[in-house]
Amino acid sequence: MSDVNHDDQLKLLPFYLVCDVSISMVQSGALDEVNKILPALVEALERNPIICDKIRFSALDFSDDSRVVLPLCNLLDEPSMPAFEGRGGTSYVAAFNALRTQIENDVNMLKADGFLVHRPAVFFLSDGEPTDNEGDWKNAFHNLTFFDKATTQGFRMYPNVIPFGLVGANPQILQQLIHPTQPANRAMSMFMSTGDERAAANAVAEIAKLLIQSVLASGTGVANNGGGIVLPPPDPNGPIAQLGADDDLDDLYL
Amino acid sequence: MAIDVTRDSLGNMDLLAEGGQGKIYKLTHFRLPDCPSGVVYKEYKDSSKITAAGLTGIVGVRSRMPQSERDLLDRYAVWPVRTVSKDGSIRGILMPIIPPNYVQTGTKPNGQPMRAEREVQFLFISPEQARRLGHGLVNLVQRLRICLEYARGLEFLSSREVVFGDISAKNALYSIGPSSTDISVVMVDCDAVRVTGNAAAVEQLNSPDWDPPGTESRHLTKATDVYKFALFVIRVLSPGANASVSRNPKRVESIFDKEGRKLLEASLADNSRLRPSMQDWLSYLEKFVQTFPTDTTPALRSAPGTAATANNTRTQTRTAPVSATNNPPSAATDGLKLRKVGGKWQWVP
Ligand SMILES: Nc1ncnc2c1ncn2[C@@H]1O[C@H](COP(=O)(O)OP(=O)(O)OP(=O)(O)O)[C@@H](O)[C@H]1O
Repeated sequence: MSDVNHDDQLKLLPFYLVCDVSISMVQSGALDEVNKILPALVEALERNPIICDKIRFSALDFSDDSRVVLPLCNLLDEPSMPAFEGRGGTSYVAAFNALRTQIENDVNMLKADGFLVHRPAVFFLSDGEPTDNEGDWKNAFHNLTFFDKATTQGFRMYPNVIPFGLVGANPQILQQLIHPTQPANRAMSMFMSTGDERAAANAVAEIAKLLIQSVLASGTGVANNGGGIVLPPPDPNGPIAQLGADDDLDDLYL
Repeated sequence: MAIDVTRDSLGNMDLLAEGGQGKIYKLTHFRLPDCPSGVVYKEYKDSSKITAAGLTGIVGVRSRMPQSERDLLDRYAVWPVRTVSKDGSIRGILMPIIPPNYVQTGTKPNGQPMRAEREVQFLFISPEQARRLGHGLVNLVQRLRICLEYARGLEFLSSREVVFGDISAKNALYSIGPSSTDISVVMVDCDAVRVTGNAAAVEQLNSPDWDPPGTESRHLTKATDVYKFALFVIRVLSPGANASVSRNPKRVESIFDKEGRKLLEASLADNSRLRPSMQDWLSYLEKFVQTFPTDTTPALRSAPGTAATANNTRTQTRTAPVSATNNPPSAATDGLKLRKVGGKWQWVP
């Protein structure tokens, strides 16, 4: 053997789709469209199966509480995809708390299995304002995303959060869920529907495209760029607008 | 042979696919005598990113060849056959259409129809997963022959001073059949090759997980081709979890003899001068494949256009223990196993 160490250090990038399943998501038809996202993602991965050596995927729902719809897995090993089902209200607190627990468990599990784990990416999809008190959801979001490197206070495994808003969601609130917002080369952004309720299904279809492109591009890049999340630009004539944490929301609706 | 045609002469075309660099069209009426099975046009999205002289050089490699050599090149590679220009500047290239034996069509075990080019990435994933996606099982001897055929193509290029460059999970396609010993490999995406001593026409890139050591990633050479070929050998011979990103020759050490292990190890050397040549690989694999009993198993698929079934594939296991990340190259099916007996590989019940 030469002096080169050929042992593979395997890296994984975990993704979480966290989806609002409040009754309005059912009424607008958005949830039916959301249920096409996982099968479409699987189909895209079937054409690029080796990406599954680099990514894992999980799905959580939330309304008054939050449930794990799909535990973190290699999507191509799953015999079928679960569906999101509608119920109740819109507790962001439930979503953020469940996510934090889930990420901590999953990352520890992957590390125990010998993987290097990249910072997880969360696609957060909602069509409503949180039914929680403002202080409560802000607190829960802080617990999920705050980490001070110097003091190691906070959640070391904090995720990158990419909010997706449908009509009904408050863009000013979703904008506060973009994480991180700096430095510029690591800043995430959010994606907001520009249409009305009737366009909800359309908007989700466009969101699905963005999500799938992001998973494929980020997963492919895991080897090269240290696992950065790639966010493809939406179609400029399509129903979705991309916004950064500092963008002026007045530009969103005409 | 005129090596440039005008965009206006191409006539009707159907969009086949859109890649990162350009759009691929099938020409419905345009014919070329040296491209009898059909012509495909690749039009670059951004012609400022291509070097006309480079593309002309690549087309020239082929057009300067005597007929017999050109036939070989066309067997090993989907090579650009003409440049296409409009208003005096090159917009794209013509190439032969990918032959149908490199395309898997049929139905997946779950009944869904499928069509996929037989990219070598499908040899890196677990055979069970490949089968679920509608691809046939490929046994160890066939996998070695795939390495051999790929080495033949790369050696052909290398001995003509051509650097392929972006060897990747998608830039080579394989074909097996009609008989299980009819195996071939064809290189695609050849517009990024480089003739040594010249710059590439299209920026030469490394696909993720295929980058050569250190600063070599900026200058692709014959030596980086050898390095990447060694990665290919590892990945194709130890399919399963993480094969597609592995650079660990231990995954396949039980398959090779001492000479093969040394060749593999040397090909992965950080110092490019220590690496063997594609000629070394070709001579070795030609010899090594002969040490296996001729595989007389039926074809993996009866004809192009039918997805293979699992039933008629032979099995192989290895005498060496198989670790969790080191799946055997294909699954047990009909009771026969390929084993090393007295240092030789043999089919045994
Ligand atoms: N000669 C050909 N015959 C038939 N189909 C082809 C041919 N060449 C390319 N294609 C189809 O077009 C697709 C894209 O081609 P190719 O990879 O060459 O484009 P590209 O712009 O270099 O893409 P990328 O940079 O994303 O790899 C291929 O996946 C294949 O399906």
